[in-house]
Amino acid sequence: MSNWAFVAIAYAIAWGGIATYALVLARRVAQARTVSRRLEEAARQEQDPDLACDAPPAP
Amino acid sequence: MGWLQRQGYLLGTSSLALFILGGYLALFWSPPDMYQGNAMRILYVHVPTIVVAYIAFFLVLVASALYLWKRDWKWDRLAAACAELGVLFTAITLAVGSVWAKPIWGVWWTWDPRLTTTAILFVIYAGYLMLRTLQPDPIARAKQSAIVGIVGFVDIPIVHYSVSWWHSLHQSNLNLTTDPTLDDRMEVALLVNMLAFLVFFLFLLGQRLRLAGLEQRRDEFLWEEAQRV
Repeated sequence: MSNWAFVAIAYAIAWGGIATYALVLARRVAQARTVSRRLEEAARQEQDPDLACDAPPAP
Repeated sequence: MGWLQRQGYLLGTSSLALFILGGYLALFWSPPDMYQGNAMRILYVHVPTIVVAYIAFFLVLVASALYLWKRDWKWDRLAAACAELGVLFTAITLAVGSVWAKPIWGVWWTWDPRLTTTAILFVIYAGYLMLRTLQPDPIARAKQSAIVGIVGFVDIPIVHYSVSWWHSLHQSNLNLTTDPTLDDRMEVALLVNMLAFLVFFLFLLGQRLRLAGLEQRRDEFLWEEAQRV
């Protein structure tokens, strides 16, 4: 293998590694944001039952 | 710390631009080394990644000490975020260094003092992250991991000075300001790449702190719910 092949492997590891981590981190942040929003919505619904989607219909 | 989260777009785009410039300088603009040839270009990513890892672990030390002193959760979150990033950059340093070692030393790995102490550094902070995952009690987790974060830092000066203390195959520490044999173009390429990795580290740190904040809010909410039930 030429030296350039080793250079290509090294840069693929370095840039690929940090890019993969950044993508996984972005996904984790998006998921955590969704969970946080849903929990806040659930808390609001508990405080105000009129807002609850699964509340029984009025007679 | 809030600044890092608010400036995510600026840090992200700046680091991308710096990586493009740094890549061009490292791969095309700077000359090959007299002895190592083009394999030397690997050092433009190898050196910045370990410098960033050192900074990350130093921040773990500071944040851990501040957590033990102030008992403020934000320091625990900062230590955890920096440890994760430090482990990432140390892993990249070891992998990239191994790829450089093959054409230059003829082996992928050797139990050289610098390599061994860096591998130990990786294991220490990987253990720190495992501790954080395995300890369910958040107060005990924060305290125990702060102690590991402080004690673990002892390995950093050992890694850094290992090339001076023991007979090492690894190059001695590079001094950019006093080394007359370093070509100016090599110096510029190294500095730009170092800046690129540093800015990207700040970008990742901001995002990782945002995640830690969201996870803490979730845990507090679930804890309150459990208390009510």
